[in-house]
Amino acid sequence: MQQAELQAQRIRAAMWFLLPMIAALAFVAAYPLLRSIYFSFTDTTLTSLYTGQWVGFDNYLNWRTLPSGRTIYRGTLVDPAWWNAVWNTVRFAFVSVSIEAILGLMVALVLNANFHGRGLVRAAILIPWAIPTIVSAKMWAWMLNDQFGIVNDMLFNIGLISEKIAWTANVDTAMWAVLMVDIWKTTPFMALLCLAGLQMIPRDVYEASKIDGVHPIKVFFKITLPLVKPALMVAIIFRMLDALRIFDLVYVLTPNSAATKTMSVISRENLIEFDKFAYGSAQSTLLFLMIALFVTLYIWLGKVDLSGDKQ
Amino acid sequence: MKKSVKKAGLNKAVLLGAVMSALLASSAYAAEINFVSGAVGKDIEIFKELVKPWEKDTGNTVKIVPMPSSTTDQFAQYRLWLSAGNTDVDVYQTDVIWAPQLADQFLDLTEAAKDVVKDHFPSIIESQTADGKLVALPLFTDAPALYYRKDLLEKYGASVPKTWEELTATAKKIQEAERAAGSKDLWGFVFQGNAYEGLTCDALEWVKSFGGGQIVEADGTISVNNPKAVAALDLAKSWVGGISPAGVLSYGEEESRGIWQTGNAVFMRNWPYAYALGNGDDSKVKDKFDVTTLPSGGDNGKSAATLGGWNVAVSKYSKNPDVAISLAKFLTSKETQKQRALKGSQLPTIVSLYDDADIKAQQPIIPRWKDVFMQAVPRPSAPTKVKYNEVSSKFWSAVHSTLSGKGTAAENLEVLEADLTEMKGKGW
Amino acid sequence: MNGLKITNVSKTFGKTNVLKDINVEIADGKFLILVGPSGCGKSTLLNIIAGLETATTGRIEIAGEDVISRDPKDRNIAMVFQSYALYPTMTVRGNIAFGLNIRKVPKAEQQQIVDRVAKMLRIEDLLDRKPAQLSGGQRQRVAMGRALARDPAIFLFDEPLSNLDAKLRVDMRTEIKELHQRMKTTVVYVTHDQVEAMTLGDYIAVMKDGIIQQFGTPSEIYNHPNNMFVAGFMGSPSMNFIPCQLTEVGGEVGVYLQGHTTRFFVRLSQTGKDYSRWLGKNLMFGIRPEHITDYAEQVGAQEAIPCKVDILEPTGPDTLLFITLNKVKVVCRVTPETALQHSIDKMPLYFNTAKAVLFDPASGLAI
Repeated sequence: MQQAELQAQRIRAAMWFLLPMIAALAFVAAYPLLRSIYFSFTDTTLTSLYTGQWVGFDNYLNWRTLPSGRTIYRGTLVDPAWWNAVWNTVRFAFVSVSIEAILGLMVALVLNANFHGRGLVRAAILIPWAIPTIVSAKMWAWMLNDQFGIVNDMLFNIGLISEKIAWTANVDTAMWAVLMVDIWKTTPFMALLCLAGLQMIPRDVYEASKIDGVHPIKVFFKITLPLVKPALMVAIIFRMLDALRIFDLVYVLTPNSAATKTMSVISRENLIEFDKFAYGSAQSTLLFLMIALFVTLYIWLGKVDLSGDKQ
Repeated sequence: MKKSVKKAGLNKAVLLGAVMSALLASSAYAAEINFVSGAVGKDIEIFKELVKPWEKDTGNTVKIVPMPSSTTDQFAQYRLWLSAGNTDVDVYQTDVIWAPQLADQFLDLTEAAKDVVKDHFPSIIESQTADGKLVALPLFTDAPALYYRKDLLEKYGASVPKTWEELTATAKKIQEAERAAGSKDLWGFVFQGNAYEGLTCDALEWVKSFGGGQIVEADGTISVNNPKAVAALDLAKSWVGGISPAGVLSYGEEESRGIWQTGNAVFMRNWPYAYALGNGDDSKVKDKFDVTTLPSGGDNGKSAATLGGWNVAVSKYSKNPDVAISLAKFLTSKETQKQRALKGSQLPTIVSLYDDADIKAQQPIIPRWKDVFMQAVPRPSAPTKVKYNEVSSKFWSAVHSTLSGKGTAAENLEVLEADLTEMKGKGW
Repeated sequence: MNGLKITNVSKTFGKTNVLKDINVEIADGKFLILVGPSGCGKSTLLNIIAGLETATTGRIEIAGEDVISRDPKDRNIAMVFQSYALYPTMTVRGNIAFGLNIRKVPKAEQQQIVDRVAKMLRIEDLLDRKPAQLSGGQRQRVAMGRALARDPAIFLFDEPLSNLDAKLRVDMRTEIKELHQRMKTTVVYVTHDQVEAMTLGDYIAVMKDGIIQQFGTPSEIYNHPNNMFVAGFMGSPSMNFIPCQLTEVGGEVGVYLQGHTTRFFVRLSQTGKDYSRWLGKNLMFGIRPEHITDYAEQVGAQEAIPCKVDILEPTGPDTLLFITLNKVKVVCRVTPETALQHSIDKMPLYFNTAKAVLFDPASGLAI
């Protein structure tokens, strides 16, 4: 009896401690999310934020049959611009996160080694991550500028290119420019998470493998990689979430290029610039659903154990 | 001595204005008015100087909130502020195309400006009137011109081009010759090719000057898909990577001015603000260039310049509407526009100023711009109403695709026509 | 043939001398213990033998072959680590067979070896588990199994039992001893536990500050310590050190000891050493707790002395008595019965001095 009472008392105390956080989350996360989902089912515009009428799924998909008998479809789900943005985003996310994971792991392996000035290098490698995205995007925009940019200047001077390349303007290179800046910026983050994982690996496993005479490459694939996998998975999920909602970099570097327009960029465009607030809300909602779906799928498929305890 | 006489005249006018605004402003306390404006070139410095007499005479202060130079960014921010009912900003500097889209959020200035509207170009006043409401007062007008390098044209014995075809040929000739002589970074022609509103302006000029209409006509018909428009875009496509750097597809006004002002372009399409800056002391092209009307295309024989220009509108959420209106009136008054013309080579919207002696003496360029202004073509913001931004975005996207080689002009314009037709639906 | 020969091995990290001129030699099949407090260099020496660290100078010979310039894998060694160092992603079978796999031993033979080793260590039913599913003792067995599968010229153990609980440690200690007796392979075993050292080793090298203080068989080390450090380090409770002056009374060399109430003379003739040179000098009288006890080793050699006991600590098989002699605390060991029979104010204690040692307090060396 007394124990039950004690237990109930503890639960009540826990509730009180949780309450402020739940309230804060409800205020800053749940409310905006639900409101934006609600908007997507109305015909709200920016000039009439409070007078929108319920239109059901019309912003997602609607159709009507013309007098000629032909049925036409409208809505985000049949909007080629939206699917182009989806494809851009997914492509960007997969390519950037894959390259970042590989480079990050490599950097982490280097940083995990013992050498003079390691602390300094570890701090230095974080600089790209510490710079706000807007600042680094602007910086790279100038570096990639076709006429004054240092990138073209260097490539030109060492003779790798014969004429200056318009990195951000050219539809063939725009995505690569965005990818490059993102990889430059985010690899340190990956490296840091991987490094944390690497440092959890006991040193004597490596000593045992030396005595067994295991080749370093085999050591990496048989010992290091499986052991660092939980940390790497966490890092990849974090980055994937980030990459799927990429906005700032694209907005600064290649604001209106159809080759790089992502889901976030296109939904902002509809929300604000085109006065199609409800339509943009529908796209935001789809973006939210896609990210949620992706994460669920990923965790389920990879059977990722985020606690990293069990093998 | 002439200066002091002028100053006295100015003071008198200001005093009058001050008395009037004191009468208008029932509140006796000094207010701080927040004014937002995009910042290009020397805009901010000039504004601060221009507004000083008003501050001195009314006792109010103006705080300028600078915005990024991209008009798209400005518009997005203003729209957000206005739909949120932001009371922090009193006066907005608005683009000529915004009036129909933001009309609901601004005060009607018809009554306040009834004695001065007749001084402005009627077409501009009309562009700022939506459903009988005067949304904004014209601050200065803008029409682009063709900037050209006198020294280079002379050196190669070329005449100032009258058509786009001539421009193409001249630019190519000079670029090749100069590059052979060692100026590796020299380009024939720079313009605004990034996918944004600026490209709509540039491309509208090409299409219109080829006789290809103005995208959506005043009566709402979609005219953009026609052989002349295709010819115009085909020619423009040939410039990219030829006489224009491939990177022009990411240039706005400032990027193209950057190339021009470092002496790396023979021709530039830009707004008047680049004139004063190009003649600044830090400019490599100082005294080496001149301006003229933009060329015409094909056998049309008529050039076209997109009507730009900026206006001031008063937010209906302002806490000091009367003071804000007084500021708007001051900024658009004849005297202020004259000062602006003298200091920033910005084009007045008041007809009589084009014959002003001081302006003629100090800014000989402005009276000449009257020619440019006469050929100004409005963007289809009036007929397309709130959908203008989307129309413009579709148009610049189609043009940008064409310039970057994704589809031909004919293909892209055909798709554009279909998209616009769908967007229009039963009517704009 | 030599099992292991270490010649003039030194190791410096920057300005720190971790190992100073180490020389050890043991015959094939012997069990060598490296024992000492933490930081004495014993693990570094083991790592140098294994090739995981390099010596600054010196030579290492394993089974008669100079291995100093060889990689660990080419030294024909197997090592058992303190934290087991099992490959976490492989099964027990995989762990044991991995080294064989790398050496391209045929599959059938691998299977045979794994089965044999598993049987020897009684881990047959664990072969398909992952290390995370095993207890500490089981992991330790697997680690040993991995070493056994290699059939090396020398086994290296790096404090293999220190992560186990007390009971398991004793059991495993016995098993290791049994295994060694069966395998007859040379073993180098690092520990900081003097009990392990005494029970397991054929030879013990007691180390401190990078120097081997004494090298010898367990009984040599225990009964004839070279210096106060070795004497104090080996044995539990450790040897008593009592400051005293060497005197001669009636032709007998000995020391006077002053208790709380009594002052008495302890003869040192039983040690059979000649102390004449040290007469009148201040020395350290070293005597182990078990030699101040309730019986005389040689009847009539020395009468019992009644001592006042400060503290009495029963340990079960023995009872430890704390008395004060020459102002220092001295531990004695008696049977529990004796401790109960007598008053703690007058506990009769015999001083069996046959194994007592005198030390020069200036150098710490035994006389």
